[in-house]
Formats: sequence, C-alpha cells, structure tokens
Amino acid sequence: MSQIRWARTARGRALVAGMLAALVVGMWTLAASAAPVKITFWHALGGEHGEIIADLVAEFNASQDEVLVDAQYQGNYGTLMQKLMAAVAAGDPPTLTGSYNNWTSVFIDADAITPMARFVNDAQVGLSDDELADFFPAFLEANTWDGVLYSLPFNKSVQVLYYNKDLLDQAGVGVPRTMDELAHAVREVKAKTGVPGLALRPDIDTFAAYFRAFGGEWLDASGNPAFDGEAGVRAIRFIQELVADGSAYTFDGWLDEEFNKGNMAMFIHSNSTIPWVRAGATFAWGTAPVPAGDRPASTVAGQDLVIFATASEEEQLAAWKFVKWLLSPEINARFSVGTGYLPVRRSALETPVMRAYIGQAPEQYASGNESLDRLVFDPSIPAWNDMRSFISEAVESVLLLGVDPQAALSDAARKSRQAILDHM
Amino acid sequence: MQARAPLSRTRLRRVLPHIEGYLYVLPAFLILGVFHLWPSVYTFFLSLHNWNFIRRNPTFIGFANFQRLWSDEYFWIALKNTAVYALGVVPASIVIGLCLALLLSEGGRLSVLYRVLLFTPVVTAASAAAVIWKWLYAPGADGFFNILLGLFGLGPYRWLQDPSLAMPSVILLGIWKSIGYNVVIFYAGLRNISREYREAARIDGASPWQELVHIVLPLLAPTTYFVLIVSTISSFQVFSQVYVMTGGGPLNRTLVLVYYLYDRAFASFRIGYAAAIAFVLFVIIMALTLAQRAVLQHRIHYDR
Repeated sequence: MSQIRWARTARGRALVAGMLAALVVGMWTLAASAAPVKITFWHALGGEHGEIIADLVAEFNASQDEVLVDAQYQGNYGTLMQKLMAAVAAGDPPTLTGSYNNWTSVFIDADAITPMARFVNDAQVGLSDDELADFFPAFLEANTWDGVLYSLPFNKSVQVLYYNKDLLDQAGVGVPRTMDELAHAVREVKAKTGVPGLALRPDIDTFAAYFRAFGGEWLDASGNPAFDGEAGVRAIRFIQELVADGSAYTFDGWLDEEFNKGNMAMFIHSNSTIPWVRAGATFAWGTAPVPAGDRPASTVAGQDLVIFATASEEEQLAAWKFVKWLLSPEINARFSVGTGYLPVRRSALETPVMRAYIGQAPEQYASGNESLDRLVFDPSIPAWNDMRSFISEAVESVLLLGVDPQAALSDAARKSRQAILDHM
Repeated sequence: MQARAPLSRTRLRRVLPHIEGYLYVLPAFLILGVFHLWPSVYTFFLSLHNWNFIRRNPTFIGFANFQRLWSDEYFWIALKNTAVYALGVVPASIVIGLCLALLLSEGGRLSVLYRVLLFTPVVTAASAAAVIWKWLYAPGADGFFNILLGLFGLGPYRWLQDPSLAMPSVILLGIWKSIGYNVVIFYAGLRNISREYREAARIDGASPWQELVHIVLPLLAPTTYFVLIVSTISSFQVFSQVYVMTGGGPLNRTLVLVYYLYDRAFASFRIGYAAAIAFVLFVIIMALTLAQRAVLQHRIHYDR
C-alpha cells in the first residue's frame, strides 16, 4: 500500500540512509567545533544611534568566534520596558538589555537579574581593580544597590546647555556659567535681538536642571520626597519669571528642531541630541555644562546594562564578554564619539579617537565630558516613573495655568509619597 | 452506589443524543472561555492582589486596591473625563447618524456610495485614524484644521495641546468614528418599518414631520435603544485615540478610564490596581446598561 516510491527500492533506501548519516556526522562536527554561544541584546537606540550600535555589534561578532550577539532594537524606551516585563513574566527575557536604574530596581526586587559584580569580580574573566577604578565613581555608585554592583553604565547622557553663538554675540553676552548669568543672557538676547533667549518644555526634565543646580535633592535621607522645599520653589520661580516677561517660552515639541530654526537662543537638554543639532543648525552653535546655581550639578539620564538570571551560565558569561568589550576604553570612546553619549571610564577620555573628536570642535563636544565631575542621578526607585509625571504636572500647572509654585510642588510631593507606598 | 449507577446511565442516555449539539457549541465556548470568561475571573482575582507582573507571587491584599481607588484623584478625573467624552459622543453621533440614515433611506442611486463613505471610518483601525487626525490637528499654522479655519481668519489653535481644546478635539474624532456604524444600524431599522404604516399616515393627511415624529421615530425605538446602549458602552471604553493623540494630557484633560488602566498596568506595572480599575469599569458599564434598560424599556414599541 505504500505510496512512497523511494522506500520501495534498495537503492533509494541506501541513498536516504546515506543522507541521514551525513546529516548526523555534519551536526556532530559542528557541535564539536564549539559553535558560538548566541545571546540576545535588547536596546532602544534608534536612528543614527541604532546604526552605531549595530556596527559595533557586527565588529564584536567578527572579532571572535565564542559569542554571537543578536542586537535587537525594541522601539522607544516605554516599549522596551513593556517588552522586558512581558518577557520576564513569560520566563523568556533576552540575555542582556539596556535598563534605566528605576527599572533595574524592579528587576532586582523580582530576582530577575544577575548582579554584574559576579562577573566583574571574577578572577579569570573579570576586571582588575585598576580597570574597575577607571570607571567614573558616580556611575558605579548609581549602579549599586545595597552594596552590590548590579549593572554597568552604557548609553549615559547628561543635560547640557545648547546655545546659538550668533544670537549670543548679537546680544553681546558670553556663554552663561551660572544661573544669574543665564537669566541675564536670556533677557539680553530678547531685548537686543527680539528672539526669545530660552525655550523650555514644561516638564520634569526642565525642572530638574534648575532644581538640582539650586541644590535640591529628590528624596531625603529616609527616602521621602523632598523636592517641595526651598530649592524646588526657587527653581520653578526662576523659570516662571523668565517665561512671564516673555524672554523665555514653553514649547512641547522637539526643542532641537525649534533651536535649528533659530527660534530661540538657548535650551537645556540631553547631550545625546548633539547629532540632531549638528545635522540641522545653520549657524554657529555650541554646548556648555548646565549653568551652576548654588552648586554645579548636571542630571544624568540614559541606560545601564543588565544580564538576566534566566539565561544559562554559558549565556550569561557570553553576555559579560560582550559587555566587557563594549565598555573597553577604545570601544566606549568610539560609541561615545558616534552617539554623543558620555564615556563611562576615565581612560576613554584619553583615547586618540576621543581627543580627535573633542579637538575638532571643543565648544560643541566638550560639555558632556566637562560635566563628568558634577553628575547627579535620579532616584532608583520603582515609583520614580509615577513621580516624574506628578512633577511634570506641577511644572505644567505653574507655567500654563499660573498655579502657585509651592502649592503645586507640595501637591506633587503628597502624590509621590502615596506612589512610593503603592509600589511597596 | 448500586442505586446510582442506573440513574447516571439514564442521564447519559438523555444527554447522548444531544452530544452533537454540545460539540457544535464547543469551539465558541472554548474561545469565549479562554479569551473572555477566564480573563474576567482572573482580573477579579488580580484586583485583590498587589503585583507588578514579575514578582514571584501576587500578594493578597483584600479590597485595598478598591479603597485606594476611592481616594485616588486621578481615578475620579478619569471617570469624569470618560463621562464627558460619552456625553459628547453618544447624543451627537446618534442624532447625526439618524439624520444621515433618514436622508439615505430617501436617497436615490448614490446612497450605496454614501453608505460606503460613511462606513469607512468604522472599519478603519482606531489607531490609524488617530494618527491621521493627529496630523489634521497639527498645532502650527500649517495644520490642516488651522489652514481651514485660517481661511476665515481664525486660529491657529493648539488643538491637542490646549487644555480646554484637547477633550473636544478627541470627542470630534469619536463622533466621526462612530457615526457610520449608527447610520448603518438606523438604516436597517428604517428599512424594517413597514411601508403600510407610513402610507396610511400620509393618506390620513400627516405632514412629513408628523409622519417622522409619530410613526417613524416610535417604530425605530428598538433600534435607537440598541444604538444608545452600544454607543455608551463603546465610548466608556475609549482608548486608542487618547493613546495615540494625547497620552491623557495636557494636564490630564483627556485622561479616560481605559487609558488610566493601561497606564497603571503597563507604564507603572501595578497590575492589581489596574485590574481593580477594570473591574470598576465593568460595574459602571453594567450599571449604565441596566439603568438605560430600566428607564427606557417600557417606552419602546416593538412592532410585531
């Protein structure tokens, strides 16, 4: 009854048996030649940034045959977090991912990730004491929970002041170094050129730049919201007054596009926006560290690298090898130069590629590195995401609806206290 | 034991002839069970817990999520906004839908074309429509609506950024999106009204207006009732256009219940709390439907 023709003849059967044997032998040889360990790496680096990380991953894959990294762009940061949570819940996360420190705290709480310290401190594959000390201490501190290093800094950016040199020159003012100079410059530009001196988004990131410079801390020593004190009110009044007299204005789109059109002289934003300004500005421009208030302080944003605990030992080790390579001085410098993100270790500053990059236009590219000794970080608590929206809402209600700054901030602090409880 | 055996055998004998019937409903029952019933039960289970998706086990906290909801100002803002949205969309889309259906039912050859045009928004994915409307609502002088109004010397308006315009803008899209469905249902309802009633009225000397008010509308009442309930339910579930166009802003002016639920579940990962919102939303919709039924049902004249 058999309809399978090849099985009827001896020659057919022999042929198939031979093919099967060849297949088995082939697979066995492949396995014996130690196929590379395949790992997945999720990130949210799109556009130009995405191309740079893709190139680096390809270079790493070609440079050795032990590890094969499959880097996957997951969309924006919100989408990345949703996919990570779904993947962890389903027990199938990537081997390695970019993660904000408040996400990392959620993963730690769920025992979902392996502390990076396990690999960093490993005698064979880890980092030497000198190598570890080469990382900027502020970054290591921000990646440490209860004394354990869980993650390592990756695409870190810092707020800087972007300025239109032509407009500042026309107004006869220099690049502001302090908040007082900033207020003066903003008003001079408006008075002399008619163009607003400053544009700002009515949100927490804008608030953070001034609040931190005026000495503010998000949480007090016992972890309670503390942004509704004097520094908070001063920061929000500072912005409010500039907006009120028309020398600054609020804008809720892309500030770099607005800047490139020449619609204002200055804005404070992440230094990772430099490539977009470089591509679009048709005038002399530069960047500088955020002007100092009571202290110099520059807010850091961006992600760290974490390795998931669900991956096999072999995969975790492979992920570590990639992390170690990606954060090595030369590669870190190239990533930083290509993307505008900060170098994460001191020796990257001394690499030829970094020196050449800064050297070609120090007034545009040096501000990030100049901010490295004055970095301040957002709280790494699960409720931070909610707190961000409460604070943005407070800033919006002051700037757009004229609500009293103290009342708005106190309200946001009250909601934040509740949110911290809710996330316990 | 021995006494029960024959009993179960008779039962089996009674059920067996119908086994085919059970098999026929099995696929539907499975789909409903897996995708509707079980999730509903599980949602209620989760609403009694504190969980963030990835902690090993949800913590049982009784009705604490519901208590918290009661004192959560954002929940009340979302509830109010959802009610505003429903009040903005439901009456307008029913009245406009009815008028268009009346025109269509009197209409000639082109009515098929008009039906297609009117129904297109309904079958367009809500998110796709929202992307296009977001573009129409662009805030600058080069936004589509601003160009139109600019011809009359008005604007430009910041449709989705201005706290007082954002909700009306979202409502306008909601009306546009739901009219088509209402037209089709009303149109079918109108076709079901026997010609004889209307002819009889005309012979008795009724004006077209009298014919509409005293014959057509009363006979259309079951359809109107259906449209009212379905539109109310769907406007309480509004999500896509808010997600795409405003993200609940500016200043929470377009924060609606389902968006808040989404935000709690998938931005803050407070799954238990989001489940509690879902459960409350279910109760609200159920209560509204029952209320509409209680108020309206005895006023509806069913023909036949």
